Amino acid sequence: MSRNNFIVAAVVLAIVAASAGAWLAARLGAPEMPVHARMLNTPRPVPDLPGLDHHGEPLRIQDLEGRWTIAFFGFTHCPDICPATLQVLAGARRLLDDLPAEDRPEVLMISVDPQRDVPERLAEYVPFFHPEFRGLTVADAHLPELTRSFGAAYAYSPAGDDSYTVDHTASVFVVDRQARVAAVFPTPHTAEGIAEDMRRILKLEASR
Amino acid sequence: MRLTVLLLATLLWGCAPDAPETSVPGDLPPEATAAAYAGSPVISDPWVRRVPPAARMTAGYLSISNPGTEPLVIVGVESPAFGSVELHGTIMTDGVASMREQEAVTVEPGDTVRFEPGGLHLMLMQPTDGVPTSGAVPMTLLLENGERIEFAAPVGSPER
Repeated sequence: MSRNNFIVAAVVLAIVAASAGAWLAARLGAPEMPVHARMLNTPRPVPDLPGLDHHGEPLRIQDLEGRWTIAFFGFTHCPDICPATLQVLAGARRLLDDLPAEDRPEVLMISVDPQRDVPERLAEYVPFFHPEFRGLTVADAHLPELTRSFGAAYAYSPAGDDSYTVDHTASVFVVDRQARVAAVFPTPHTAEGIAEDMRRILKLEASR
Repeated sequence: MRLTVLLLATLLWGCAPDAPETSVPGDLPPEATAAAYAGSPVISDPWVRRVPPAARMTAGYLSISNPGTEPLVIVGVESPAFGSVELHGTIMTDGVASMREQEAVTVEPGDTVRFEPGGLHLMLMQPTDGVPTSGAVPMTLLLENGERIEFAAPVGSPER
């Protein structure tokens, strides 16, 4: 074999090997980026603020460290977006039932209406959609700081005979095991989309 | 109902596109043809969101088609199951959802308006006997021309 032929053979072999490697990596489930969620380049820590869960027990986002959490902002006097989101998240959570307990995400509805959403009201509302879902309410004074850390917004608007409604960010947030906002699902949401991306996020974590 | 309109349209198209309105094929239910010819609105896929029994309110959804020649203006909704019903629209601005009452909803001739999650919805408030968690909710659409359209919306949760 001439030297030229040898070089050509070596190059061809290298290309074949690289392609096979890439194909194999894809087949073996090499981590992919989420498709629906936007990953934050720098995860944002959530401030350590006191709150109450729907049982009236103290709950801080930091208490959820060690688990992935899917969090969103809502309120119980919300007929359209909030129950629809809870329904979608219940579907997503069920699609993730096969994951080991430590990888199954917590789902948390953070109320943007602390005046009306006392723990008892959250208890009547949130677990209806899934028995493991949790509600969180924080004092009015802490809500601006908490929502800001997520990059979320809310505002009160007068509304008919129900006195007021709450405009709020409808995105769904992913909080990592270090209590940092790591990803955002913009609207619209589907159970399949959220479940698939949560698996991708878990694989990315495992590959690090 | 949507099927009836489609069927009617197909038959008319197939038989005689230019036929006068009286030459209706005889095998269609008379009330359906009469309604379509009067240009009456057609309601399809109505439903009411299943929410926790303790919830103070829920939302209703439907599609409404206007086969007539005049705009159809919905000015209100009534239901014996709720003390107050409003037409609402959820508007998404920079990811922020806000809900606003609509004075009226207009369906242009030949158009269909969909009330659906994240958009237009019937805001059902002050349940008379708790929010309905099963069965179907009787409702009446009130039109600007004084017409009333009754329908029943089953309770469900389609995202599941």
